[in-house]
Amino acid sequence: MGALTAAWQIRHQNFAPELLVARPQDTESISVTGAACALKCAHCGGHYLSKMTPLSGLQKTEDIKGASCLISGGCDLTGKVAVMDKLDKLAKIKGEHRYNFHVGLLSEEEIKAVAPLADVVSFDFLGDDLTIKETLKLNKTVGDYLACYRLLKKYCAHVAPHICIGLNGGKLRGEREALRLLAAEGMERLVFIVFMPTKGTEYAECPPPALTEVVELLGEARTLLPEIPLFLGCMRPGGAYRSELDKAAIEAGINGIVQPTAAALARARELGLTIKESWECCVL
Amino acid sequence: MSEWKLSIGTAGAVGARQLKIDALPTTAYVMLGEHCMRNCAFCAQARDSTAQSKFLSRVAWEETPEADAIRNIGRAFQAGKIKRACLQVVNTPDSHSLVIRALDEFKKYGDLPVVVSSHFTTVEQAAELFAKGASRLGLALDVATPELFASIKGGSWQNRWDLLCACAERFPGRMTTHLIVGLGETEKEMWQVICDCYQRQITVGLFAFTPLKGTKFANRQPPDRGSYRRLQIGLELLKKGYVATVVEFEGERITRINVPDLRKVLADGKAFRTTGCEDCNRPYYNEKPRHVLYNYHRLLTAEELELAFTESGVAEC
Repeated sequence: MGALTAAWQIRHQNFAPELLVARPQDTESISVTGAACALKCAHCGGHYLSKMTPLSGLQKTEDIKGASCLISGGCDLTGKVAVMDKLDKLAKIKGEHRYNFHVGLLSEEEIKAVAPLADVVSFDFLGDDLTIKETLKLNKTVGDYLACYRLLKKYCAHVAPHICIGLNGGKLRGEREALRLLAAEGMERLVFIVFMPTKGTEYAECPPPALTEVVELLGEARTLLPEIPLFLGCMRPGGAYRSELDKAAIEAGINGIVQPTAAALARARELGLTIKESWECCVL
Repeated sequence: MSEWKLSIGTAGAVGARQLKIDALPTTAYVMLGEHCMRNCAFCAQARDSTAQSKFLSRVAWEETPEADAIRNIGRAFQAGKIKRACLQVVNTPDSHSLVIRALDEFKKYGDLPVVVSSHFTTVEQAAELFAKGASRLGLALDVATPELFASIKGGSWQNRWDLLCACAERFPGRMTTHLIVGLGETEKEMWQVICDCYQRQITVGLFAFTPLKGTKFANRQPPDRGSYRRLQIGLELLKKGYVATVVEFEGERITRINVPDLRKVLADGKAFRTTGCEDCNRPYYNEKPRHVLYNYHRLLTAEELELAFTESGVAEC
């Protein structure tokens, strides 16, 4: 508990005693590619796209349910979401909706084109070349991710980097390096998500990362980034794991959680935090 | 006289059965014989398969007396309802004589092209089938690599490949082979076989592995559709006369097609249609009708074409 106590103290000193709780029912998840993904990463295999609203089914702003949208989709083989030829349509139906773009490794020109529409960009950041190669099947490097992150920061109003803990089949590999690199670059906020095995994928049989390791990393992040709001994002395992993780994350000084368990909320209150709810994506 | 088996779609197309179906085959598919002597891990007709014997892939086949089947197919051809017949011969002791008799019978219906996919083992046997009236012959490799062939089908890939090549040399442009994507090969291995076939004017019918209850591979997954799309694109480009090297790899995966305006080149959607012998469309052979189709038996809609390009990941806008 020593490290966690220290992390908790850092939070206590730097932030108001409140826990941001996101329940993103007012954000519609839209896939610009429908259920299609060419990349088929080992951890996802395109599985989650089928639960999103296909962009092809939306014609006008009234078709969008909610106040905001997550704009994502399947990737091509270079690790980018094929969003470019959809920008006109996305602009047409935007209305008053705020957009959280999740676009992958776009080029500078593409980022410039996306930026005017993006209220925020979510960016998965990786710190390990082998994971990029093995898990994402991409012939890219950490350097490519870093360069893209810099460009996103340069052109976009807000960028929310995400680190997936245990992305390499449940093993921790590049998370600390990702954290170190992002800390050096600076950020407004940081979202952690946690690998969860998904049926039908290459990593279906891999267990989620050991809880103690995840919590240790969250504590380190708190220490390294004492003033940056940290979030536990929507993609993380469920059940007993989630219950334990959420509580421990609060103890480790996390600032916000998406869909926390009831036990975690009780723990937050025990620790003197008030609950501040929002109804959209945690980065919006 | 024996019983023939017509695919359900064929029975509909030749008027032997009323079907509520949105697509009829343009080729009459006939299965001759049942209970194969071989034991291919993916096949409903395999020796150890407990699938109902009326199935081949996910299609049910309907028993029809031989004389009726021949008459119905012959008349359907004369009426323009089907364009050819395809005899898919299960490897049984009497299969050769069944085929010869079928070819003789079909001669009564003039120019009906008949493709025979059977288990012949010598060029001479192939020559006999051509001499008896087969318009094309199919010799299925099914599996892309020798190692996988040995474990999945049993026997020698090399022997079959050598026979296929020898037949292709003697009967240029008249041989077809089938390849099944998703049996454990890499994209690159499959692409290599496709190229080797095209170099020798061997027509390739590309199929997606389809898990079937009762077979050894019942619990395996069908292939990644993106991978299948890339191979379809490669195959179509070969047919359009592009060189094999326009297909570029990173590791075992196709990551780039070096063809300018690729979407325009492929705008007719033919890349994603059923491949193989002319006029073979095999509706829903690899997938349920409500699923996205690996092989489209008809023209694609604009949305389907867009989806196929997106799935491929190599056809940028």
